[in-house]
Amino acid sequence: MKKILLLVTFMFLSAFAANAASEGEQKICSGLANWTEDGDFKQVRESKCMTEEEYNAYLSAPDYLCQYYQKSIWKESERAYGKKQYKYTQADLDKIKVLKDEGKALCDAGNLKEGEAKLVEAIKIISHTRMN
Amino acid sequence: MKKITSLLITSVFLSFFSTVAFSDENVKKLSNFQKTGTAPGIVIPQDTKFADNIKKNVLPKIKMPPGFKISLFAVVPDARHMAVARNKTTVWIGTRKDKVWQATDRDMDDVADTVEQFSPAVTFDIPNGVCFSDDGHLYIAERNRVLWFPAAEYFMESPDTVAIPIIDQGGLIPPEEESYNHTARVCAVNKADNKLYVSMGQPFNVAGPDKYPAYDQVGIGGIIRFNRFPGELDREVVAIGLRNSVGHAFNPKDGTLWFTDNQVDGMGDETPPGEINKACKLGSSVWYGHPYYGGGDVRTNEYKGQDIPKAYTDNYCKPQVETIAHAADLGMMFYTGKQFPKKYHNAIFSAQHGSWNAVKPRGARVMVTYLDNKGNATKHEPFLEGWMTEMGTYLGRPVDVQQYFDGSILVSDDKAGVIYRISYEG
Repeated sequence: MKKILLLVTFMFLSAFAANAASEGEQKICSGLANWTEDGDFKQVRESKCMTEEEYNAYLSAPDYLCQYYQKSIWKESERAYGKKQYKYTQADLDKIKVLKDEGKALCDAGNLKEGEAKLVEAIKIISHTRMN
Repeated sequence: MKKITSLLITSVFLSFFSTVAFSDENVKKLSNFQKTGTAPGIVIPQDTKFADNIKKNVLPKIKMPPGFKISLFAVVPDARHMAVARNKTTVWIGTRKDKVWQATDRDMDDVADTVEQFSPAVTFDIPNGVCFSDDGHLYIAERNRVLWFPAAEYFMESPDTVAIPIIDQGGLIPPEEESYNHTARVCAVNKADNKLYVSMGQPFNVAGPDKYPAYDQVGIGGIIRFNRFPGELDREVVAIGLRNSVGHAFNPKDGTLWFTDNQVDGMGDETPPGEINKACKLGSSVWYGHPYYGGGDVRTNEYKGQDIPKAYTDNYCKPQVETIAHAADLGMMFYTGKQFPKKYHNAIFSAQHGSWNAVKPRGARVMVTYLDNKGNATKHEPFLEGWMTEMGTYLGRPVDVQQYFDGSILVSDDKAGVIYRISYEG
């Protein structure tokens, strides 16, 4: 009887540990795949994955906004697809680039708040530019 | 080479304008009950490998409460908002391109037998918004025009469907404010005043101060209403301070207007929240937060620290539900059927299209929002999930939810280009 109880306890603990491990390993992935006309689901961009823990660390990093704003500015005003979405003038794009570079330099030097403020100025220009 | 380039540019220019002119000419003819001589429209084959693969690879992945079943209703390219007919098993489907589709279940087996181009004589321009009135009229809200199709149920089999502009091309918004983004209109008829309500997104991430009060006066970043038959338009703004609403419906129990609103980008992966709103009242001063709030009570970076005008704060109507950031809450409906269990009666079903602007993908699901007996939102939870793979790719992206004639619901998906039917079998 004692052996059976031990065995049941062992099985329960093993199952619990396995479950906890698999939850801990749950990945956050992002990629791109599209349907073809024939109904095949074709990967267009390879998925990149991170753990939940890594994602939370990314969100709570002191320089999170510095990084996020820079990426956002790149997506909306430098990347070809993003650029196409707005009615930018060259002067707008030049101003955005200068502010982004200044913001990045401040962020890299550890002046995070000042860097964020510069980057927000760049985002304001993007936000107030009419979309195509 | 220069000559060839200029010839090409000229021919593209001429062909664009001749198409527009031809289309306007056709609308004139159709509104006078005249033939245009247009050939029958495109037919979308339904019995295909694509349909089989959707059935095999998508349907089994969709998670839903016990007793519910998902099936493929139709293959419809670029399927966006839907309108369900009254006397026929036809569904009209808008797109963000230049076509409107009609899907008809002719043998009553709950699967569309034919999917055809609706009214091929008309050249549409982002005909996203389709709505059907209880008295049998179809309306199509385009980027900058609203068309009325009287008795569409009966004229729909012909390429020449009577079409009458309620708002002429260029009359919905000033043409210089036209954009491609934030231009998916939605429409609905309010039974209380028999008027047509059309939402109008504003064409910025965050509109600048130079755009106000002009936008509020026109209803850009708002919802307008007007008479739905020719004559005096009597256009009014009924909501301002929206960013980009792409879903609205009236609560059949108390007549209140509810709408989704997509919120500001570029503030963070997990902020600001999206919104489901209930109109506090209908009026041109009732304000829902944009551009001072980015979603919920999160102030936009663009207006942070600035005083909000008193005319706004005195008339601020807060959202009923704050949804997760960047989920893109789009089409919505109130469930009035009897097929689903009682807990879903008069609940809101809404589609989350899914994010483009966050590291962690989210959305691609259908949500349900329950209301209390005062008509306010209580719980908001997923109803259908599974269009996102564990590798973070979207198998499909739900756009709209509409009730089918038998009390099942239809969900459109503009990524897979299909319409699903969700029924309850107990």
